Amino acid sequence: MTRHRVLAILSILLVASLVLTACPAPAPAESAPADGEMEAAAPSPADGLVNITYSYGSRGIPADLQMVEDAMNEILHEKIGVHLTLEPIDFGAFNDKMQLRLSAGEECDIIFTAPWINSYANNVANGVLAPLDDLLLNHAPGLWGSMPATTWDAARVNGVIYGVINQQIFPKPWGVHPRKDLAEKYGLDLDSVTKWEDMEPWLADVRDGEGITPVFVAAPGRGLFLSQYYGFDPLDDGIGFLGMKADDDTLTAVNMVDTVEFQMAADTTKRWVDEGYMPLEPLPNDEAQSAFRAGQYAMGYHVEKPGNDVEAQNAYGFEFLLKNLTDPLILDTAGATATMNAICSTSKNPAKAMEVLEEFNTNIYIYNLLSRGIEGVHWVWEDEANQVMRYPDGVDGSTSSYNPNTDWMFGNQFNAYYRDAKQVGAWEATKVMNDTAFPSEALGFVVDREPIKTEIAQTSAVYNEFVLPIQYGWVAYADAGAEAIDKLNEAGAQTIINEVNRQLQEWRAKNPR
Amino acid sequence: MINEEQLESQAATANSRQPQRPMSNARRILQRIFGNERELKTNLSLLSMSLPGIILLFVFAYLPMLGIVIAFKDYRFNLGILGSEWVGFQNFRFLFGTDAAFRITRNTLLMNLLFISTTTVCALAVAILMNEAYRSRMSKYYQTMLFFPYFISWVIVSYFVFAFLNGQTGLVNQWVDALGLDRIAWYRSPEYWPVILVLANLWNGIGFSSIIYLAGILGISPELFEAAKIDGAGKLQQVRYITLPMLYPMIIILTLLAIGRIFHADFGLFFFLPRDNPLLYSTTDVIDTFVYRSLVELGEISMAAAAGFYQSFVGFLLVVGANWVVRRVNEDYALY
Repeated sequence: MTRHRVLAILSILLVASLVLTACPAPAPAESAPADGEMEAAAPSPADGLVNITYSYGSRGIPADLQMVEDAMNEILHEKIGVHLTLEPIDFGAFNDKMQLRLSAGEECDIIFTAPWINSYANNVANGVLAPLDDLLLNHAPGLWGSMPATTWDAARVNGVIYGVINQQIFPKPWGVHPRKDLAEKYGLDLDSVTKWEDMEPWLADVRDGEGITPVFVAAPGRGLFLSQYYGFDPLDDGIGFLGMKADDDTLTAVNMVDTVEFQMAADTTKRWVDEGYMPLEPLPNDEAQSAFRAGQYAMGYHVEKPGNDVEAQNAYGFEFLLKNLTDPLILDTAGATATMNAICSTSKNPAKAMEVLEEFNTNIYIYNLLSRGIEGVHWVWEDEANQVMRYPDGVDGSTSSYNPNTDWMFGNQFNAYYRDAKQVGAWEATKVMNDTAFPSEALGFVVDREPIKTEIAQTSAVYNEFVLPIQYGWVAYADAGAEAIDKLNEAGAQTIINEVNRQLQEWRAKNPR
Repeated sequence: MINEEQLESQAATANSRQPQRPMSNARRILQRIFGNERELKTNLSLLSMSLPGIILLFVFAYLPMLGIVIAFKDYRFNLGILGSEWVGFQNFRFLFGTDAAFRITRNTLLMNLLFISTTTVCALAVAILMNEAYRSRMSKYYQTMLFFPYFISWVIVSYFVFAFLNGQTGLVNQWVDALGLDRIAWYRSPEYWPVILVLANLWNGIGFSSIIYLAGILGISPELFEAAKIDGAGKLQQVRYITLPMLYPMIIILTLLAIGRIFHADFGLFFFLPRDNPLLYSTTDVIDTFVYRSLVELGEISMAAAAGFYQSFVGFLLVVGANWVVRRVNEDYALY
């Protein structure tokens, strides 16, 4: 009995010690130097300076972050009396961390927000962003004047601007980029091409002459139905079938699958697959890309923004031509608000934060410090007259100690130095596209998914199963279109459309034209 | 870990079985786990060593159960779990709103039944064969080779499968060409996929299961086999009359545990191998892939929680049911 008791006590002790050692005790010895480092890294600014933080997403934390921050502060201390602290957060954790911080009411100044990460709509709905109209007028006149009023409208929620739009390509100029050598070899006259179907004679020649499937498509598949090409504003990218004709002043959302445009696109796609212009079983993306490099495809079709031919050449090694086939270009909410910086409602110095945003967007030197690093350290001039930079000798994009490669996150991308001499002039051309794009009647409208989330879940499963095979050209619209529409309606498509139409009318009442 | 504890306690009670008295269910379960009071006293020191495991189980399996309430709420981050609004069964509607509900339930159940039965039969066969070759110098090699696929991610396996089956350069279609037959469009023909998935699952899981059974076989007293040999039993008779009966409790417990997971499909297997191809959904779409596809754009935590709760609840009913059946047949083999 006694022996058992001793054994019992011993084993309880053993268990307790196991449990205790398993708990991660605070390790003061280790954390102390870390704190010290933090203090050394962020010296408290001299009197009179205002502390402003900028939290944004980043692919890892750049090694030379501190060096860049110091270089920016050299200017900012003197010019606007601000001490800026950069807070890059790894992309993988950015959304969760920001949502947690914002929901906890933690103080912050400038944050990155967008429809696709750290959701702008949710942040506005939760009241964590400061209204910016007055701040823009009084503290950032250059920034305010850099974009037409219609563009700013995209960021308005109930008439108020909560986010500063970063200028980059806004509309989606869907078009084609054929290989230059094959275009010349088979006599492609790109000037006379105005729609997908005009490519067909050349595609047939390439297929026969080269023995390849000419159009680059990666798994799972891709069709020619691209909403903006056919004049639709997709309203919400998460609801695949939902769209509204961008010029429809009655603001009526429709089921795009049930439109003549969708049928036209589906028919053309099916013909391209049947004729062997497009692969029936596309390769996975990385394999398809190496097949493109090996000359197994003759053209791609994508957002043909100015300079895309150079990007394609860098990716695939061939020279490309490029033609936008989307006419008119459409400016929709998702396109214009794709990347934004906003000011937190908890910020103690919103006016100073806005002055920092003014610098990000109008001060070419500051913007390029933030997005490209320090001249002579992280990059050198290739051709200063044309604002073309390159990496220093022996360094490339992956080995650079400061290369965030997210120009679009920090401010007006048209202030960025070019990375390639062939791109000179692309920013001006892009700005023309932005300013001349046709603003959708629903520009600024965002779908509130809350009342229809069950239906969205149901229809997205149905959409994948019944609509995608039609869209990818695997089955004919004539055979499967009616069934797909029935299935969508059974899953609640009409409920979604009715609700979105109700929201559109309500929105229009609050935002008269 | 639960597994081993239950096995041990079962062995303990089986050895010292006492005259049965009618007793309540709860009491019987407690006794199954801890033995009677006298046994409890004798084994206290040993039982207390399971304390860390029990604490971990409590922290990681029981505490999070409180989160089930999320399935019945309109969960909003800024309101918190308790502050969010109650919405009843609203979050479950999307699972049953379309006729996909029948298909995904059928696919999940049937495919998992196929997996459980094929894995059990094949793993037993392999374990018996490995036992015969146990003294061979090559036996470790065989075990490693069979075990190895268990560690390969389904994403990578999906590329293996694609290399075999794809329409343009796939190996299988090249063999088919060489034989002069018609090519088969594997990724457009749902009827082949139950077989492909069963083969892939076997390839992946057989090493792991057979090692468990092999351990069971090695635990059988060699005297039994010697006695059988003296009585003139052949290899097959030894397997049939000694190996299998001695393994029954283990087979039944492993099967019961597998049945508890029968409503949870292996997402990696069902999502990556068919490459999320809409043309294959009729045979490859299971609850987990359907939920993923429905909610990937929406990111709705409450609806995902509802789907998870539904799966666990049905799994719970199935385990209780299956255990009840087993207990009716032979009480010693039941989990509790």
